[in-house]
Amino acid sequence: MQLDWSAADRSAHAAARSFGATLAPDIEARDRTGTFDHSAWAALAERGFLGSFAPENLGGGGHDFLRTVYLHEGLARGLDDAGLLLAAHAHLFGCLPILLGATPAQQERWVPGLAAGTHTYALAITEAATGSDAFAMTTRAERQGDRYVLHGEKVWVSNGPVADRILVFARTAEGAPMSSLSCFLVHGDQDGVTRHPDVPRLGMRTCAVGPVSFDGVEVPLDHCVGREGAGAQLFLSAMEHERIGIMTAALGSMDRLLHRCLRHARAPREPRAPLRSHQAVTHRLAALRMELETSRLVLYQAAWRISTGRRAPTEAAISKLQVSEAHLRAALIAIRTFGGAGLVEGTGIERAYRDATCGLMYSGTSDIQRNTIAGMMGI
Amino acid sequence: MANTLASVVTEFLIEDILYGEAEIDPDEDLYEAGVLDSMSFLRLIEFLDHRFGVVTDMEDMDMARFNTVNRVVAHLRAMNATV
Repeated sequence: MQLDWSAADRSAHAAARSFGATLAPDIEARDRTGTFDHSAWAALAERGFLGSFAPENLGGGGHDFLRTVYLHEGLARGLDDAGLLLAAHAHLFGCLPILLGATPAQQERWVPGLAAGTHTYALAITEAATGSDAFAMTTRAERQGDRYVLHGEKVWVSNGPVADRILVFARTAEGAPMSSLSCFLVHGDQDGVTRHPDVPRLGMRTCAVGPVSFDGVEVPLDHCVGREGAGAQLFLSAMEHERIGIMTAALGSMDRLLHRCLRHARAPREPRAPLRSHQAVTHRLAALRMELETSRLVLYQAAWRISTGRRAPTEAAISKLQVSEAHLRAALIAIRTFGGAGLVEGTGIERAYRDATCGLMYSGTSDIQRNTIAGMMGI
Repeated sequence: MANTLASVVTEFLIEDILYGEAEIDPDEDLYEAGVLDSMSFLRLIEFLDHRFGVVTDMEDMDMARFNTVNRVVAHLRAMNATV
């Protein structure tokens, strides 16, 4: 792996960070009410962050995956709104099935609206009964003449309550997953689609997340993304990208937490000595720095593999597992550093801890990543 | 206001070295002002690499050559760094 950013890359990374820092001045209030920030979403679209990875000729940024990850890490370093980042990443990285597997004609129709943020995308995979065993899904798409008819319900759909474009994975045949699953683009306002309300939860509250039901939804044949029966391959490839891209938010958060802790540790505490005079504190912050840097290494290694055309199932799983777990450990270090103040609402520290906990769940839980890593070693 | 080499370096010194509100005159001696010491000098060198891609050779790592913001900027310009 070689990471040698150009001057333009470095400038764009720094600009993304500065831009991100302007976006969430009211995050504490919106976190309490679980309010999505539509104006910040529009600003992200305007600056190209909802289509970074999409081809330039279809309205995207045209960045390769590695540069996309670098820019989104910069954005996340500045933007202290984990829910908004989750929404943006669910939109961009979650909808990679379109960028990776849709036909050229489908891409021409769908990508411009995705990249411009004109439409809000969601990816619907998980089901209540089958949970993390995604390929055991029971949502079914039956071909009837010139259309598919979709029945089933998905849960934990990020952007689900507000999305007007939903990518749904469903079973189109019996048998092994690698030939029986397909991916469909469904409009949120179609007859038979019910977008259920946001589920109140521990963290990442500013992203709308909820179930979506499909009751006899008619889907045109040309809304099957790519080839019928190729859904599992598309899902696996998209997940490799998503698990890397989505974790840029955790890197940014860890970096921000570290900086806040360093400022706090150096601040005067008259008549007592600054916290940094205590080795117990400085060692914890050294540990936080190690969490950040080791997380960066594994994430960028995985992104580099994808960017150079290699597959990265193991590296993506390791990235997701390492970065999300490190984020939670980092947030706990921040709480220990701030003491009781770190538990108080409004400081941002307890919010980071709640948000980091959610990171263990989405895009495959930590145990699912371990399953992938073990499976790739043949056990 | 648009970023300049001087503003980016100054922001790093204030935010990441001093961790807070402060002012730095571009011709102020950063060692005498207590901004830089041996460890923070290495952090500055690391920052110039990460932010601008400017790698400083061991022979160039003369602390006196980086003792003001303007001298750091002159070094960056000599290395063709851009914001």
